[in-house]
Amino acid sequence: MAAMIEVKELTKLFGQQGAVCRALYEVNFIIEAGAFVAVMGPSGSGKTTLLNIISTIDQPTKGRVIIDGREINTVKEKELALFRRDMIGFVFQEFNLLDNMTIRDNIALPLTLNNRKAEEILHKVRELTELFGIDDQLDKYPYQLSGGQKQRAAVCRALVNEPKILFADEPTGALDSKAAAELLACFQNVRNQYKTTVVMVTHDASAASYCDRVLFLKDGMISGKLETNGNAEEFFKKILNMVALLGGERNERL
Amino acid sequence: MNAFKTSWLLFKNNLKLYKFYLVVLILATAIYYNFLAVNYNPYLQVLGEQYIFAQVASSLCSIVLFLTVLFFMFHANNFFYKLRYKEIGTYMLMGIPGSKIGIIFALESILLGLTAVVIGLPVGVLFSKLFFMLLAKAMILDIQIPFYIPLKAIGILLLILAVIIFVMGLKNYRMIRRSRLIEILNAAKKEQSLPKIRWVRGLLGVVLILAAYYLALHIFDLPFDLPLDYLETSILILLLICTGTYFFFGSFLAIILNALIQNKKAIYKGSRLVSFSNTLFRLGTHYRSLSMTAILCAATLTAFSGSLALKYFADNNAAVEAPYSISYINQDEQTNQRIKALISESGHQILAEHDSRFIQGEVTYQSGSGQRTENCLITSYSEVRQSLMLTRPGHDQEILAGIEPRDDETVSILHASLVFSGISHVGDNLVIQGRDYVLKKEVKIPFIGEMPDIGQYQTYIVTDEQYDQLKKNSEEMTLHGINITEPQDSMPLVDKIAGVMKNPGGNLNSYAGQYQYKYYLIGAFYFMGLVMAIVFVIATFSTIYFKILSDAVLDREQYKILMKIGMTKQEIAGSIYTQVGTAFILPSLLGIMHGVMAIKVLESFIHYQFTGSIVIGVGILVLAMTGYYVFITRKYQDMVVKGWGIYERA
Repeated sequence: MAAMIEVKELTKLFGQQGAVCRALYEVNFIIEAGAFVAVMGPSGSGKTTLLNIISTIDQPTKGRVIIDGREINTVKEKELALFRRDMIGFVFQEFNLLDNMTIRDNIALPLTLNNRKAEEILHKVRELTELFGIDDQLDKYPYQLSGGQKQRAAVCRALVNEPKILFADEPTGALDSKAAAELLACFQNVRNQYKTTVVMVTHDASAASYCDRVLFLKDGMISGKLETNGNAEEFFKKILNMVALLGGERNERL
Repeated sequence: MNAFKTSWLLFKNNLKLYKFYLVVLILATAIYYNFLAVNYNPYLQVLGEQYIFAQVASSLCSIVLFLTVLFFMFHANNFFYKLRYKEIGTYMLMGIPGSKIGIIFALESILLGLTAVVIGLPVGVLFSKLFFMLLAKAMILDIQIPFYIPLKAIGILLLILAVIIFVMGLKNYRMIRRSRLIEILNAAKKEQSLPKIRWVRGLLGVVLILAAYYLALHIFDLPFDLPLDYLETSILILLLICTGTYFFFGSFLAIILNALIQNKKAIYKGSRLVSFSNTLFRLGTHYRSLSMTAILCAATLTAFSGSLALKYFADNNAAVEAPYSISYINQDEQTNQRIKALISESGHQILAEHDSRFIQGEVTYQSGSGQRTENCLITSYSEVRQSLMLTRPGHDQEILAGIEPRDDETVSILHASLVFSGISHVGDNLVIQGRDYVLKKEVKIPFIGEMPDIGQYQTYIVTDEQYDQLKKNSEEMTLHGINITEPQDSMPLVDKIAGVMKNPGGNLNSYAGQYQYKYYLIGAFYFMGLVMAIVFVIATFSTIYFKILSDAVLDREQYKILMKIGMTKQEIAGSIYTQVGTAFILPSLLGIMHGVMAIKVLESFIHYQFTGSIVIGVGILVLAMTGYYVFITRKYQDMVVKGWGIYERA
């Protein structure tokens, strides 16, 4: 399969001279189109920084990021915004829905920015919300929904402009285990139905077990990779072992 | 570190945040001092009657200013409190007791007030020289007002400000004492609910405003009986406008915006969805400041245009009442010579002389059910034209354009002292000296002026041919008009001329007499009105400033999300311009409409057209508002997009 995201020698430094903090150091990997990949690692390992850079929100200090064949480090600010709008969808831990709009308007928002026809937008919103089982919540405001419903609405918004990649930063972090399981099943659906590449940052091993592949980060470097053989139970155990080995959340107090 | 030191430190650190607020407070203190100083200046007290007008005007202004400043401080205080909510939470987490934080914050606000007084008072004292010079000029007082600092005014100012500052400090203390840590920490997550759709209130708002407008436009010819006099009606209009405006922003706007947001075809375009949703959402908490902006904006326009209108009226009316510097009738050639001799002795120079001829006659017209016959003056079109060339140079052509009568027509010049004229006779048939004419127009232009003996008669203009025939049977009279240099200072000369004339009580009229008698009253209001306009502008701008910037603080997170969704900087800028624009344009528009209506009421009271003053007032206001709009939008953008260090820290 073709590579969707290609990361070469990616380094990110924070701070000024004398007090430099190395968030990422010479990270290399390739994610194929249509893959469902989790990035795991303990707190401070650079997961979110990595996600921010490959999702074009942040710039690397060194190295290259190539998305769908385009080198994004050289793209100008305005083009980058349009690129994000067309290519990328985001899901955050805190949902980030806008309080002042109904769920329908929240989901429609990215398309309205592209000046698509109203009928077309409404049709698309309906199609997605049916898939995610929140089509009866469209006229409510975010504060009237449960966490799981909000997160599914957020996923709908991320998918409404048919992005090629969906980035999720701890999407299950604020959900109970049932809602989390439902959401992750949704991600799998999306990948299967729309062939969307999904990249998810998490430190929850059970969430990661829904993916095809897991990248482990530690101290800004890739320290391990795992791939599923189709058996979720087995994959979950493997991930747990890996976490134990690398000093993940289970034994962070070494 | 004790509480005082801590609050001093906080005050110094937050000075950048307080900058704008402090400037407004300093200005307000300085202006307030000057209003008070008018009341306690012994050099002004010798002026007698004229002084009372200045005192009334300045007292009225100082009350309005006091209320405006109070409202503004209250508003700003809440803004700072919201901004520093988290900071208070942090102190509480550190284990500082609420009472101590309260004292620190109260002291800080007292320090802020003190700074304003310490700087504002000297500024006010320094400016009082200028203030009094301008006031004296506006009231055409020819005395020098020495620089004087009335200690009593300072005492009262300090007392009032001390009370305000103390109350503010107390309020802050109580606010902090009452706040609970858990509420502060959850403040960001607090759900803001959408404004409720209240149909009755919304429609009532529009109805009230329309009713007020109707009353304002028809204050003198209401088709129904209102058991109120004019003053009470004006107050009723004011009340209707204020309530109507509150309902308009509180409910009607919500209905409109909600309907708009339901219409997906209209709203799903570019950044409209973001802007309008945001405006609707904020309406629940912001409708008060929007209404206040509208009302302050109306007050600004009324004060400004009203002042211009009064001045315009005074200038024009002085010209109508006294078309020449000095004019007289019924004198012989000998007296003429003596008057001219007196003028050349006086140091004034004669600029022009003109004789207007007319006859005295009778007019009969239909009044109610019966006929009425009155004395009148009759003159020819050419006489009026020649007179206007001198009395209104440059404007004579435009005035003449509409008043040339045909042979069977006449135009009447309403007598100069007429202020109200409820009934119009235009189009009626009149009989003048036994001949039939149709009244073409009624105008108020300078011709005879307020000559005591004949000034109360209407003057009818007929064609030259008609006039030649009419005058055969009457004795022609002559108004002798003289224009001199510096007519406003010619009162002593006029008194001397009166001494050599026959019947000066009935036959003499002068600009100095007319102008000085009426103008000092209007002059005082003119000047104070302009000062108040400045005060209202400052109040309007600062209300908008704090409203919009507190929005910006709340909207930061939202725009961060939108950036992540892929809104470009240009689109965000566009959305901000629309959002700030709606918060700006609507109150300004409504305010301008209210202000125009206020001037319309003034028009009907004085019976004069003030279109020019309204246009100038609206024009300047719109320009100022547009400039401010661009400025505030940029500022908002800075806060939302770039982030503002000071807010970040708080």
